[in-house]
Amino acid sequence: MSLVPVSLSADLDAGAVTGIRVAGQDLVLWRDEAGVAHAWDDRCPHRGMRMSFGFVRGGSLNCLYHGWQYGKDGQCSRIPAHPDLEVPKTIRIPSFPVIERAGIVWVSTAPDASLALADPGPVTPLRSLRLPVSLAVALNALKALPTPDAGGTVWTAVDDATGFLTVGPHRLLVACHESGPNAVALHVVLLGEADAATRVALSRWLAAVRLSLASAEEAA
Amino acid sequence: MAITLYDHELDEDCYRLRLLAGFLGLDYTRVAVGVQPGHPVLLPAGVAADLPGRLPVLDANGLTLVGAAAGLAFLAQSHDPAQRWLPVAPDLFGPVMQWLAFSAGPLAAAVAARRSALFGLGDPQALVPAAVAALTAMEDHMVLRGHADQEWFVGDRPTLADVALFPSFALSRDFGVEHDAFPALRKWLRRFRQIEGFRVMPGIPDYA
Ligand code: FES
Repeated sequence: MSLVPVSLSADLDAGAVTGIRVAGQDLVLWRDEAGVAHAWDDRCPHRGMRMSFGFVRGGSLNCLYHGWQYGKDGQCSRIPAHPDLEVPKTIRIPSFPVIERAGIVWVSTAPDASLALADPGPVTPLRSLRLPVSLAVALNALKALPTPDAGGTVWTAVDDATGFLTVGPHRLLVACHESGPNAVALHVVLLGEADAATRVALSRWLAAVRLSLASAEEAA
Repeated sequence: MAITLYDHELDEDCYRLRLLAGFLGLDYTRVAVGVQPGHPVLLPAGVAADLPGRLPVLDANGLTLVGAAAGLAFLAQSHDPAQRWLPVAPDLFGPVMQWLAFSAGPLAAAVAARRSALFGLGDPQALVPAAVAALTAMEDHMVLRGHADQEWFVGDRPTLADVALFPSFALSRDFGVEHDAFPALRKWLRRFRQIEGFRVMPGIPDYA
């Protein structure tokens, strides 16, 4: 089983918390104030409320509802209603493997998951894009998108959901995650460096895939 | 100038005005108006508005203004001498007006979807695609702003554009739209919460 891409690293700043869905399971993805990203079950052991509504303080994630505090290992460290209580070790949120590579956060719900992608060296984050289609349809539309230099794109697959896309003089890494029947997220970074004008142009170009999909649907 | 806001706690358009009032440090009177979902709003006896039936209603020494956009523009003109929230320079004023109009145009789908979901009026799912399309347009804009190292919708500080747009994104989970698909808006939301004078409303958590 492979790790799945869930966010650009740059989009998850220290203190950020968000809900994600991986392999049919709701997870909370958050980054502590030391910069380490965590993925946990999105469920507070107290009353089952969503941890993705919670907030980060230093190295812990706090549940919004009654303030139970969980340290980096998912272990509950403090219950505000009982400040003197030594919290039982059994109160713990299951946590999952997180890897950051190529400017992307990858998560798996399987403990032994691996990542086929080798470290491509320095990257520049471009954007994430959600599309209401299948992975195959999204990738085909992206590969067929007219390029500014009219030279077309070249796709070099790493695996089913990840690959390098050459667009004119630029090389993009596109990491996809199909989270439902018609829901796919594309996380895209540029290999090497680029100035703001190039990043803007490539981000606009990527967003144009939405229009191409909408007009393809109309034609169908 | 005595300012009165005819207000409903759960109404996101009223919240738009409460937000700006907070940022401006405005001293004003809040009058809670009872609202029956699906029915026109009834103002207290003796209060008349040109466009009856809707909130928010702002009264400034007898001048009444209905709707969030008018109220925001009025408060910015009357209570922000430095003109930071509604800048006068055309290259800022134009884009702020664009987003203000957007908040009452395409983004009204989000306001309607939330109202429908919260008060059980009609089918919220019918409104969600248009609401998501509006939020996606905002996300695209903030992706590009981020590449230009800009943190706000217009210019280099928060304006009425941010105030008018914030509530619909912050409250989108009320109509079942999660924030994970909008990373650029998520970052902007966290920044917005740090503005001096920020206040929450039901549905927007207070982390204090
Ligand atoms: S549900 Fe999380 S602290 Fe109560």
